[in-house]
Amino acid sequence: MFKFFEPNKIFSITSKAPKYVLLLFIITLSIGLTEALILSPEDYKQSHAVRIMYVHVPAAWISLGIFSIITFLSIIGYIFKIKNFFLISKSLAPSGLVFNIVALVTGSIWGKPTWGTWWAWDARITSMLILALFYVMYLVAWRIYENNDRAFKITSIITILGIINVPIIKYSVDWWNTLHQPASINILSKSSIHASMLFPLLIMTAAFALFSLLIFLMKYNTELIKIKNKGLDRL
Amino acid sequence: MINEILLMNGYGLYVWSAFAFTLLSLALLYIVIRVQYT
Repeated sequence: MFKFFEPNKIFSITSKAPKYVLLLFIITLSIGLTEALILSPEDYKQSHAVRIMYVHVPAAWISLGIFSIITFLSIIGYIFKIKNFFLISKSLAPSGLVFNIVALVTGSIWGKPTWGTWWAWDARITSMLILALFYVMYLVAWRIYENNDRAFKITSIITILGIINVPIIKYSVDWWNTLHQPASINILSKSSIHASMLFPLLIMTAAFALFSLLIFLMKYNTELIKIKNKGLDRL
Repeated sequence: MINEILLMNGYGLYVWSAFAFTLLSLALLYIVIRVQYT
């Protein structure tokens, strides 16, 4: 049996947060857009097309991050039978999928002036497309099986299979000769990106992370309301 | 100045399309989740 938790107690905390997160998101996004579209310099090779990177890269990072969190929570939730972890995972997935689609579409828009093509069956791009399919399968599984033990099992399997793709996405540019450029930012070694471009990139990443938090809180609260409406004071 | 921001040496169409698509996607997701929430 899955462990119980009290929706009323959690809802009293999470229902107040969205308006503050929304305000913070709007402020961060405004700074990010000003930096990305006006203040940051153009690239000596890519010219102004480099500005697409300020939405493409953060969107890809967030979608990969969210899928990793979903997988971690699903595995822990399934092992220790914590139903709340599944609700958190389910509430995180919509923004993960949208950012995955944003990364694919903006990458395609960037590809046209830079590579001369909208799409290439390149290892990085194809593996990102596969991640989007895993997101779709995950959300469809929740639609089909609703909130029951079978949904927990099926969605856990989908995330475990999907997470195999995450390191492939990350290292595809190193393992294969891809059209996609290698990573410009490394946590462990020196990044090849200039500070004037790194700043808007990090601001936009913060804005997208705040947006994911906002969507998560709203979706999570909706799930809690559903539980309350079913007349269950415990899940 | 305004022309440079809009046209971006011929890349304006691509840059603005990418940003417009991103912002529209976020707005759409927000509206959908908001409708479910209220």
